[in-house]
Amino acid sequence: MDKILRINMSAASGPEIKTEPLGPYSGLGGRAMTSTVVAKEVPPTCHPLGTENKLVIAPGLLSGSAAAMSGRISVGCKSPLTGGIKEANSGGQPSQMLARLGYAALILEGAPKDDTLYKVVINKDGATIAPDSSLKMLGNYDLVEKIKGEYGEKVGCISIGQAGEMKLGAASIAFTDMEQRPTRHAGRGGVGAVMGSKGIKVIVIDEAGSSMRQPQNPEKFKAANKEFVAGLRKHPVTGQGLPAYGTNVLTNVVNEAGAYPTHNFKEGQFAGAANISGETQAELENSRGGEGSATHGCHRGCVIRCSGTFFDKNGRFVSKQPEYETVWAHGGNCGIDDLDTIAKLDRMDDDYGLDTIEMGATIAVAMEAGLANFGDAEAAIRLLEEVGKGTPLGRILGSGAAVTGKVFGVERVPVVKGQSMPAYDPRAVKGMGVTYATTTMGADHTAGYAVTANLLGVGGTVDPLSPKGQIELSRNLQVATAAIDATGMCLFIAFAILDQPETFQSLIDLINGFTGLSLTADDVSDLGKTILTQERAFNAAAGFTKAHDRLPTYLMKEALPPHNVTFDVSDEELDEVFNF
Amino acid sequence: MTAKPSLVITAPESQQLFISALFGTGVGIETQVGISLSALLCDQLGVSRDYLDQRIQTIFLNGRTVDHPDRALIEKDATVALSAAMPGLVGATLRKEGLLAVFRKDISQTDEKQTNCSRNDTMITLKLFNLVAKELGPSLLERGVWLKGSQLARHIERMGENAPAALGSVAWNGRPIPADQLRAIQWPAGWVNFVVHA
Repeated sequence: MDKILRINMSAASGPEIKTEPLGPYSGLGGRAMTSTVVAKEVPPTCHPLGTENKLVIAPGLLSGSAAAMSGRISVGCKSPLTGGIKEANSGGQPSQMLARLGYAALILEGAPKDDTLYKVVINKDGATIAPDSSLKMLGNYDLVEKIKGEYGEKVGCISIGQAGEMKLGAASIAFTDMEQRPTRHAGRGGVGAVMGSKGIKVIVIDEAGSSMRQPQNPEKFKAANKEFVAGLRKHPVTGQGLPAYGTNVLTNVVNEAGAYPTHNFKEGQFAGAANISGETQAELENSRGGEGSATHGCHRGCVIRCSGTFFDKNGRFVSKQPEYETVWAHGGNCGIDDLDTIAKLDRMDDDYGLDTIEMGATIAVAMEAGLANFGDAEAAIRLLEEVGKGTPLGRILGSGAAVTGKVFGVERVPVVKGQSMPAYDPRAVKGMGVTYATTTMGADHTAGYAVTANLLGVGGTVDPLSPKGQIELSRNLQVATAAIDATGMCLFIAFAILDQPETFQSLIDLINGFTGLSLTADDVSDLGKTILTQERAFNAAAGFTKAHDRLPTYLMKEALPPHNVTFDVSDEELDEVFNF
Repeated sequence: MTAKPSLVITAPESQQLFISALFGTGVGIETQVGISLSALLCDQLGVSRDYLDQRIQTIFLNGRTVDHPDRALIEKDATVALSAAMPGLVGATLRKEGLLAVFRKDISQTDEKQTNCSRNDTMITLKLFNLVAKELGPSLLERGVWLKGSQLARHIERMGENAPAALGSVAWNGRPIPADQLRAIQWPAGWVNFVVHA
């Protein structure tokens, strides 16, 4: 990847495309690239939907190579939902395609003078941009069908649905999967709204004529990749649990722990959890779609294959297998225990281009406000339809839980920095609460996701019984996650890396074999710290203070059944997280 | 003494049993108050020590995470839940003796208290999740588990209309019945012993 594609939507004579060398961004990928570009080029106090914000789309360092698990892509900007820096991450095919075409980043900047909608096409000969009003207000599914008809069945698409065109705070960006369906999303933080503000509806990528990126040290790379894949396959989480049940394997366990946010974070256990568990979902998918339906990769080169395919009772495709977060958000958090309803809501989110976590949390807040009863599946579907239609109510809901709560006078809104909390109650698992409160991204479960035995040793020892242990652990986890996000690797490699030192070493060897560098675990940690330091600085300049690194106060007062716990990590402790 | 109701079936294909759904909501196991969790699993239910140590990575007792199954004692009407290793940060957090245990210290089993009761019989609820359900479920069903009549009725419904045709044999309260009569049984309100032979 030796070039950056810039698309300036503000150019006097219409959108202008420029290809330039990497310059100061050399050696960066994924989140390292997006956060560095945003930190350098976006004024922290700009309006997120204005001309000064930029949308950066960056494959990971290893994307487009034969490295297993390396197909993730990062999308960065100033978030219209949080007002801070954002990196949203997605699977799908476009990361590998862009990387093979040589692009380390696409940077969309400026804004069109009117509401003309544009289509970008990138292939081995370069990139073009042209208006295409026929795409206006198409859902992602219809959009991709149209693009397929025009450009063939091998192209990839990066697109927004109606929500992105309406610039809603919960709008996502869709990335097509191996079956050319718009099922993978950079969901969090309203990145789709920023793409909409740039007037770009779809980026079509045709990788024909490109080739796999080659490593600097092929022998070392090949050996490390083999070891890495073996490590992932032999681990019970990455080699068995996730392929069999997907991320929704967490429902039964988190529910049993009393940490499953239910009815808008009112309780920690949901009576209907077993009906929507990963086990039940896998049995249903396999019985409807044939054995193996519950196992599927979101990009070529994925060996974990945590996804799957959800069919209706007549065997028709509905959606990719809903993830744990989606099943929780549209399920237990709203009191709904029907997988068919949840899959339908998931497809609607994908089609309109919406973050499933934010929409589930928003519908639950709407239920608390009395717009519907908890458990009313039909009402949940109707509320989501309002968003797709762009009605005044729909625009409120599509702007996220914080806005919805404000409009309808709801105190109990589970957000940090304006972004909804995911599927783990911070009162029961306080370490998660520390991460929710302090990450640069707003409430985010993936920001402190990855962990390695080596990294936990960096910066001192951790006493597992000490309350201070949570702070140091959260910090180290956030550092490690930021580093892995830069590589394009899927974060689900984390468990195998934690348990198997040889698998962690094989990841380092893989990076070194590809890049020709000689990184150590400490270097990976330093990369993570650099990314986080930049992000913190951006947020501070955008006006964020310690006061923003806090959970909503009701979580400190309201005890969560069944364990009757509150969030009691002190402000002083939270302020220690980024003390490095 | 009146024998408790029992349903014994032969099921050559275990996937039609929807084992995950059955054990996900929990089955009854007769045991004694005061024994340790490891004694329940290994001595009574035949789970190997190796399996307990290596495969069962997440354990709950009455909703609290257990780090030391040798020291966790069964109380009256307890609920035990077992799972294989879980993904993600929360999976690592809930893991027994995990490095991230401090993240969930408020929902962890504390130093186990000795019960004052003598070893009275009790019926606990045992839940098995994900791979553990698949791996331990069949052997537990061979030994027999307890379900309330309504729970068994729901499960038979879940197995579907065609399930009886795939069963080898059915015996209700010790008497063989045609498999197609399974869904017509009038289930009692109380416990039914449910046994499945492969």
